[in-house]
Amino acid sequence: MDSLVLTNDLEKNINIISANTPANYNFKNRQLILKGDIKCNILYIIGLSKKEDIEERIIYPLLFNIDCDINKLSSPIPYISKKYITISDTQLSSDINNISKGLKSGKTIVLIENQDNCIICNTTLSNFKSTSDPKIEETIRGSKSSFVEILDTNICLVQEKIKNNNLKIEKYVFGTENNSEAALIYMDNMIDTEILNKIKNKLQSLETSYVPDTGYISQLIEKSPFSIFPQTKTSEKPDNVVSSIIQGKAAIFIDGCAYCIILPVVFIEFLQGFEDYSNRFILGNFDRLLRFASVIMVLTISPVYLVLLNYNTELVPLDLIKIIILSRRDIPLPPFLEIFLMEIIIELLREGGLRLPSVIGQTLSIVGGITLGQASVEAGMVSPTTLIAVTVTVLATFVIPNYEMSLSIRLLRFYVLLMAQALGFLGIILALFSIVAHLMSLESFGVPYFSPFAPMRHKDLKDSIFRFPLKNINKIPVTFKNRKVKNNKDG
Amino acid sequence: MVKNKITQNQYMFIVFSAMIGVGVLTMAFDLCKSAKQNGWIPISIGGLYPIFILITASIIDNKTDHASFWDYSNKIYGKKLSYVFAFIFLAYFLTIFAGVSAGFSHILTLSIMPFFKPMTIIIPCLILVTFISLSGLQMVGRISELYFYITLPLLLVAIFLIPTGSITNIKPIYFSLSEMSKTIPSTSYYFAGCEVGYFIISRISNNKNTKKAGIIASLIITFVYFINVIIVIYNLGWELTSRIEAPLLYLIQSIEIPIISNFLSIVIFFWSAIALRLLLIYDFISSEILSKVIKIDYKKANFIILAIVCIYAFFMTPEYNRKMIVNATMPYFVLFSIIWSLTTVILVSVKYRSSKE
Amino acid sequence: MNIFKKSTIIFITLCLIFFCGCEHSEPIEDLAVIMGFGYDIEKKSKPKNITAMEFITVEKKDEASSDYFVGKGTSIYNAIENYKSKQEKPFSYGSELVYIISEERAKLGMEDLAYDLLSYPDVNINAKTIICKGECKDYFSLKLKSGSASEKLSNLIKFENEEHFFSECYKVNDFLCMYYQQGRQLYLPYVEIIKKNFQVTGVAIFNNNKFYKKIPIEEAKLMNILRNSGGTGIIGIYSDDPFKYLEMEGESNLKVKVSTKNHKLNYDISISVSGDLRIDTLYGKELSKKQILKIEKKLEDKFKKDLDKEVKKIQNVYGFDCLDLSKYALAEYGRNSGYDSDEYFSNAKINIDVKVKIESTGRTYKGTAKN
Repeated sequence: MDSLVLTNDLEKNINIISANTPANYNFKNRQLILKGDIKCNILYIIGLSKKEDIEERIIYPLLFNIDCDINKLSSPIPYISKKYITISDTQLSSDINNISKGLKSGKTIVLIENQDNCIICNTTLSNFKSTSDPKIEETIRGSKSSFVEILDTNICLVQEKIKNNNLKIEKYVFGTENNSEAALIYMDNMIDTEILNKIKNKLQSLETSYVPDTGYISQLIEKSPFSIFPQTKTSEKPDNVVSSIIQGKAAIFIDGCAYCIILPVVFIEFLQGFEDYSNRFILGNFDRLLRFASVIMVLTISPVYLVLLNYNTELVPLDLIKIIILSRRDIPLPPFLEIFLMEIIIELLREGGLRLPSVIGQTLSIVGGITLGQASVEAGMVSPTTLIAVTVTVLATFVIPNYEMSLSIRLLRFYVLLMAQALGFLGIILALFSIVAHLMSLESFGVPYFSPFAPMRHKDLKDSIFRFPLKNINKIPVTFKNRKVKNNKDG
Repeated sequence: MVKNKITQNQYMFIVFSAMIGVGVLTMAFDLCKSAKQNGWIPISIGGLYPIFILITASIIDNKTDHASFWDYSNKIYGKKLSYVFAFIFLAYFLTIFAGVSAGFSHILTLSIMPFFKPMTIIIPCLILVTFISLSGLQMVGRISELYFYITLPLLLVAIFLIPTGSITNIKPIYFSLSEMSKTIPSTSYYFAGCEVGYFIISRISNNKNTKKAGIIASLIITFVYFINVIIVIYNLGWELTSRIEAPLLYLIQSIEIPIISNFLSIVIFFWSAIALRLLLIYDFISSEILSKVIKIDYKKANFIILAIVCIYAFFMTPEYNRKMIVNATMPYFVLFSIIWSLTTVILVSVKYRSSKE
Repeated sequence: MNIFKKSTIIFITLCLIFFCGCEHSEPIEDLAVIMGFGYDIEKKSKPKNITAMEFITVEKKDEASSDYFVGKGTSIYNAIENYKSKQEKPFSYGSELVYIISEERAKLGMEDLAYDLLSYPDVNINAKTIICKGECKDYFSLKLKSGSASEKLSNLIKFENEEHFFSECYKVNDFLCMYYQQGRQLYLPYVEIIKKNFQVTGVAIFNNNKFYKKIPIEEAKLMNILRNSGGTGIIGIYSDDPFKYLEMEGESNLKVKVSTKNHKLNYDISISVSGDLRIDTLYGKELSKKQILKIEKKLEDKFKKDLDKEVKKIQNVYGFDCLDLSKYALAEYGRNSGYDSDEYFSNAKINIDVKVKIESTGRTYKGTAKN
């Protein structure tokens, strides 16, 4: 689109602007006559702009406060803008694109006859929404505010926690049809320049028609979109984002979405909770170990149970064999189908509970779980030991702090279960080996995904499975640092 | 793009992993047949072989200023002869590759999967390993590094067995030259595979002291082998050890731990990581050599190697076949390797010193 | 390669593996899990092998019980095939608790039995091995109040080292070690059924892997002390009055040194028993240090006398080394030295040195005897 500019003819300017903005019924053109019989037009869109600002801060001063002759001024537009308009954010422009963009976001245009530029006043009506409670990232010890759908509020929430000169906020516009605004936030002296350049290149080359959510951006800029593991982290809490930015990462916000994405990330971060650091040393470590144990439990309990039932009876202690035989007598289904069916039913319960209104949803999940479990045992479709195994697995998935990672791991256990049915113990071994190999080959914007385990970064191991005392942990993980440091040539 | 750089630590771990496979489980059996209760002496002496090979690799690398295997081999021996040597190394690595896959499937059928056919075990392992080795040397290095730390305690699991043995099984300790000279050549199979160092040493990115890395790897392996063999003999005595095919596996079955009813399954579960890691290293090396020799794309070479090794492993599937093939071919390969490394070191120091001057 | 081609290949491979992989395996409830195994022989003109085994079944609701099968055949696996043809469920090995060998079988030879236990990979080498009197199937068919026969037998042997100085080493692993190692002979507990209950009534000693004799329990106690460390038992001094005696319960420790002199072997065995004084109604004195030392000396003398008598009996009457002393000689002088022959053992000089240490006298400080 060639850059159209304003001309000196007021009527022509209005026509050009009207042609380049959505000509709906709420596009208003208010005509004024200033002192000295000078024609002036105020253009705005009802609903997007604040009525009081237009009336009291633009129209009133223009009509009643001008006390000099505008015609005699050499550059009237800047003079009027500086002397009479009391809006806090004004801009002078003659570019039609700028003007139409401003109109679409709720700004007001002041045109004066015989002038080839105009004043763009920021009168955007922000639907102020106060910060709310976090929906999916509940913590015991941490701030209770979360992001909202308005970009400026979100940026404020981050900015008030990092009072630092090096905090940089860059603006982007995504989506050729909906033109939503987005912001990239990072700290200049912390982030690695190679990583930053990669991110910026990806964002600038992003071309798509509709981006309502940061999830879309995440999938479009990831290197391996088909992988089951997320390569960016979603967060709805400001303190998460702030601590990530200080460690040398970047955050992307988009207008209209209350979740931001943090990149680059490594696998271990999805299993670390924010309050691990605020809690005491032993408590924090205990919680962390529990989470790691739960990941392993989710992946291995059902498959190992299946293998012990089907293939390797001699691995079970004799007393347990008796209990299992007693509980499994007369069950018609083979063990694999039994376990698979129970897992699918529990997934149905979980997904169903998400969609129902919260009042019914909770009751239904509890009733469904208890009734279904009890009834299926009494009917003889499922054995009690299978029910225990599957329930413990489900409980373990609740321990994983990040929602996306828990989804990924839930799906992976089906893969391990299928391999266990096909090949027994070897199936579990091969499945786990392939998962680890896949994790090692992933990369998140140049950072190896499974670091600090592979490649082994010894300094970062102090904050991986165990958390060493706060004095000993590096402030910036070596993984994210500038790679010209001596001993870190990769592997 | 296949990533190609490794760190020095990863080099050490790759060489370590290339030597230790499933041989540890059956080693005491071979040694006690001829050396009786002194089976642990030949294996400690045999540890000199990898030290020799790795030191020569380091010397060659330093003298040729990190030139790759193909560069200096072409320069010293000429194109035709270096192809012949590359083929012999390829056959060497393929024998170890197929031998370890067949041996691993035999161990699994003995312990936790008795009702599976050997090929049903070998083929999925090989397919998985092929897909992973498509990613290149960087992946191999990372896997070796991570699994080294996880599996090193496993190799020392024999320490659980120290209380249950009796010293009368080891005494008297004497060194008989005739017995040792019969047994030491057969220990070379357990250290075979350190020659992969020649092919990857030129790709280390932070070269400080590759001699030290090589020596540390050899010493750790010798220590692991020594501990395992001596504890097996300490517990079982040489008469029983020379009758049981996998004595370490048998002994691990006798460990009783309160919570777990069968310790063997856990040990095998983690041991498969060792075996798969070794298969990965050999898959990578063989595919690389094949792609350079026949001049085809690296990824296609991977699939050709997969087919070749499946067929080779099929011939090795009953355990006695594998023993026959390995015992017939290994001594010659090891001899070739020693002679080749000696001559290469001498020729390299001569040729590259004269070119520097 | 294109991601779709790659994933299609992986998917097809997984499907093939999935559908062709699992074969010949039944889930756990359809298996008969073996708990105990017995080897027996029927003596006729041509001896016939009998094997019996006990496995888990569920007869009553909510209670697992056991049943047994007997098979007859010309060889071990012939007999196994015989009872497999009677059983509708496939057997599952690997969880056995006990292996019973009948006395008759042990008398005739155990070469095939040892080979089977060594080479069959599914054998549970932590199962206990015992020699029984009579037929194995009597042991499996004994109806007990709770639990199965195999569990009871296995627990009996497991806690045997708390009496008569037995050791803990009567598992299949130890059986094979004793069978194959040079300088050692087999030595297994002997179990009988007395009044519908199992009881360890002695020890079976073997010569060249054939059953030689059953040693009654009192003599077996002395042999146990001379063979292994770590067992607990009772030693005492008794008088004619049935209520006046001295008893202590202690743990034994054994050390053997071997040397040669004039082409004869010299074994120096030092035994130490340390434990608690249980009953002292023989002396009525206060248990001061002096008195305790006196008691210890008396115990040592009595004990040494008993042990010397036993060793002489073994050397002269039995004539072979059932105490496993030859292994020390072989360790010292080499495996080919020939010091493990019966001749050397019978002519060897065996010196026994006993030390008794009383660590605690319980709650009392004075013996109760009316002077």
